[in-house]
Amino acid sequence: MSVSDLAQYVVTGLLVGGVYALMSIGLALIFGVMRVVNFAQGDFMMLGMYLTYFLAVVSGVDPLLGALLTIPPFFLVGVGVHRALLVRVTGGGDPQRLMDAQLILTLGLSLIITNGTTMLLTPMPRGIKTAYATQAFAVGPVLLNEARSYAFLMALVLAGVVYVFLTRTDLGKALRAAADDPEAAGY
Amino acid sequence: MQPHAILLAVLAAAPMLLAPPAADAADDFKIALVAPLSGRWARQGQLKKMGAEMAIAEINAQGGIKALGGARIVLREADAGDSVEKAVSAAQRALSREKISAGIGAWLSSFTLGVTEVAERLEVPWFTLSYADSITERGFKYTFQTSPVSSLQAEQALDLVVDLAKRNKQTLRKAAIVGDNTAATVFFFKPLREKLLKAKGIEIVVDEIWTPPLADATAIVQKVRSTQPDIVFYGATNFPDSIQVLQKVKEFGLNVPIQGVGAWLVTPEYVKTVGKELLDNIMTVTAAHPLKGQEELVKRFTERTGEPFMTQDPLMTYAHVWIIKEAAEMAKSADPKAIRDAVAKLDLKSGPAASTLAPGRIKYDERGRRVGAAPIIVQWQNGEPFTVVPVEYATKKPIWHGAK
Repeated sequence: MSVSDLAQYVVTGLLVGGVYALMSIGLALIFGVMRVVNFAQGDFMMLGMYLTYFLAVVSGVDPLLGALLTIPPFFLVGVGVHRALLVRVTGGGDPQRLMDAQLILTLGLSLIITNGTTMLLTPMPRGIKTAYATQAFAVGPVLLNEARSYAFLMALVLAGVVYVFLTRTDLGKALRAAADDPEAAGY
Repeated sequence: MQPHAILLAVLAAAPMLLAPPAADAADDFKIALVAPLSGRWARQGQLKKMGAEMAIAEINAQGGIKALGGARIVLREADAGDSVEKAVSAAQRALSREKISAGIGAWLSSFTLGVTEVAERLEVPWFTLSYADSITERGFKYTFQTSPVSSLQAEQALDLVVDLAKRNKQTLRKAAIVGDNTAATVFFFKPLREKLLKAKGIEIVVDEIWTPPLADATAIVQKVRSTQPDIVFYGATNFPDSIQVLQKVKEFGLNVPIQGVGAWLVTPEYVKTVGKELLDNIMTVTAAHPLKGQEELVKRFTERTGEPFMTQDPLMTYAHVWIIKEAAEMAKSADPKAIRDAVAKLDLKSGPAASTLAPGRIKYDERGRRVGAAPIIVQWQNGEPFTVVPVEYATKKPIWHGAK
């Protein structure tokens, strides 16, 4: 294996890691900070991808912009799911029982979302043809896939924003405190 | 067992317990279709279902199975999912819940190997389009393999590319082998690796195999780029993995002929995702594809489903339903054992089943392989896949682009 091959593998590994990091930031908030076991995390992400896809296909919105446009509607969906469902299985009580309840609830949600989507949209694979999905920035002999590079940058920015939010802002600190001791937060 | 684990087990089993047994007239003739309807291979299962439904609609419209007093055919589909375990349990459920006269499935050879074991044990005749040689090497009496086996497809595919290159005054010297480790691909690559390529004086410069799902294709395509083979033998079996490889091929600007194995490489989604230009480099060997003279059949299918073209999966499943119908007429019974014996004696040279598959004959040998089953080579040309080999059935002439 040549040095340039090795460099290519390392760079690609880092870029893929960036995509995974981007996916897990939401999980870090909901499970890591709020201690809610969420089996439906990936399913909500899938719904977000479908919305981005339809924005691109129907309205011609570039997926990079479309991804941002999915935030407001999914924020509302999140509030709705929390108010209607999650609130019943969070916030004080026996942690073991709460976790079981969360697991059943979110796994049920996950099954409904997955099968509902398969029924409505069929299992047909859908993709968007964008220039940056199949183009690469060339750095010497090493190629950096453009789409993955954007995802990597977005992951870095988001991770920074979430970190600052949780450690430097009052709301973030309050969020962590309430998750740490829901009972005390209720007084 | 931890409470969590018990909970998970109960939740995982819940959908099976909840599924109601379907209530239909007792004298309906039931065919099981076990195919991936969710997960990475779901598109192929969906296409199979379309073919089965088309044949069933035609048969029922013509008065059902006449020898059984006009019995209607009904389809019982079961989702093989994305693992051998799921496929096997789907088959078990489908075959033990009610009386099934015959079954079809389960697309991916690895799934079929498991599913046919269930069918053999429960003595239900089973029809498959899967390619792996091992499916009919186990002495099973109830398995009928309609496709030419993988090793035969490998020979045919290699002969074609060597011949095409020669006619275009090129010599193939270096080959790459790239694909997953599912059964059909394994049996396709094995003879290439062990003898066929050496016999043609072709050296293997890349040999990259993965277990699906493929996380990232960069390392694989990077190797292809640095070794510059004259031909790539390609077996990804599912769209999500395949598209990762092809997008990398495009990203790295590789221009190399790709010879695939299987009908997963000729679904319409490729045109939208990687574009016509890249597809022009791709050929694939399959068990069925629309042949010269089948325009009417293809038209019925595209009008019915809205699909832009027809491929192996609906064609084969369409033929399988018709074969089962013919066997039931011959057996004058819906009993699976009687149907199996009728299939073993069947020799169809006309009718919808025989005319759908080259070379126009439906007869199975003592192992359960279809006599004379010929591999079909399909080539993408300007965004549509055409049959190019064998020439007597071809709808277009093959074009050689060569490595650039």
